[in-house]
Amino acid sequence: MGALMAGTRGWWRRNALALVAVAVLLPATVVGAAWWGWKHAYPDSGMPLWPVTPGVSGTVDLKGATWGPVKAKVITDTTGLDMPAGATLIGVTVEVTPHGDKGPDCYAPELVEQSTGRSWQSVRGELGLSWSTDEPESCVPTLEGEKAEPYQLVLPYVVPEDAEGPFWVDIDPGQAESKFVRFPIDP
Amino acid sequence: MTIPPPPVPSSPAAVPGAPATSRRGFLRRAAPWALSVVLVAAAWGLIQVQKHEDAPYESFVSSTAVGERAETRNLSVTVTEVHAARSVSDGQRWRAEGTWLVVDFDAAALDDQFGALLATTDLRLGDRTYSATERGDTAKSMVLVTGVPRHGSIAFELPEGALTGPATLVFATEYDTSADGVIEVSVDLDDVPMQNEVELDPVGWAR
Repeated sequence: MGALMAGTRGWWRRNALALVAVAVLLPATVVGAAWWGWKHAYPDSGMPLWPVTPGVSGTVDLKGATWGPVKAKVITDTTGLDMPAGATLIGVTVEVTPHGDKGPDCYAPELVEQSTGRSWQSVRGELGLSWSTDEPESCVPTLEGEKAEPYQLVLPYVVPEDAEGPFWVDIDPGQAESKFVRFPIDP
Repeated sequence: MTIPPPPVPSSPAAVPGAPATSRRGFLRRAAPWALSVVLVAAAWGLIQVQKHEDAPYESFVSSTAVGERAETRNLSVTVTEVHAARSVSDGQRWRAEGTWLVVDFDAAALDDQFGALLATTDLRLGDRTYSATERGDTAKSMVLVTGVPRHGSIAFELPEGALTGPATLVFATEYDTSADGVIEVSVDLDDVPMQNEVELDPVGWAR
């Protein structure tokens, strides 16, 4: 019996190095695989998952630009616009200040009703307004040989009368490690 | 769990005798057969309630009639009017002769305007499916706005004499409607009077 015990202790001692290696590598593999999977599913997916809201300054720095401040108001004077009956026109402007030589990209900014999650995109064309370089509805691409300058996004949203504030204005610059710009507004 | 008390042997069984032994033997032989019959019946029953192989890809259909509003995932549609015509025009540059079915409707997105457009506008007539014409200025692939209906017309060019019997208009926000919501509107083409010329409604906000 004593010899057997001594033999067992001997096996543990002989394989001590390998056992320590297993004790370290096994959890490391599990943690590593989990982290890799998480990274692939979240920040690398490019899906807009994590909002970045502005602080006191009213601006957000993301993807090589300063976004904001934002102005939003209900436009009551719709003279000259093709407006549907029973709908509200919400005008939103967003300042965009590129940091580098090239301006940021973005998907069409969305207006989101906070209580329901319903979302809208700006409808310049549907209102009878033609496309204008002075009032872009989406991020302005920087052409070859040009230097990006600050500009303003002009976003007319048509929402039904039952849509109620507060809203968010969401701008997804794309491939920003799943972060996107989110301004709370209540026009 | 309560352990049931051992069964009290009834008086005939208690007495060792030929009839009791043969009955027990019969039960022992019959039990597997009975169980098999039950299992086969259960399997048959399961097959009866089972959906067919393509069921997971079937569309979720909201059926309605002309003049009635229907909703499905991120789409609401109201067909306001249906015309049959010998010739159709968009009031601008396009005009065509033939056998036409013109459909005026309102449509809106329900929650999400991102990429929301009326991708599928079909007419099912008998075994055939027709897509709305791509000619002219029509509401085919019309952009949808959340909660604020847009109005327009689509037109179907059909073979001579096809404007008869029951037909179904199919609307959806995707080209591939498998496992997604579609709106189906029933139309009886016998009730649609033939007109000489129909002009498509311009695409705009529903009034």
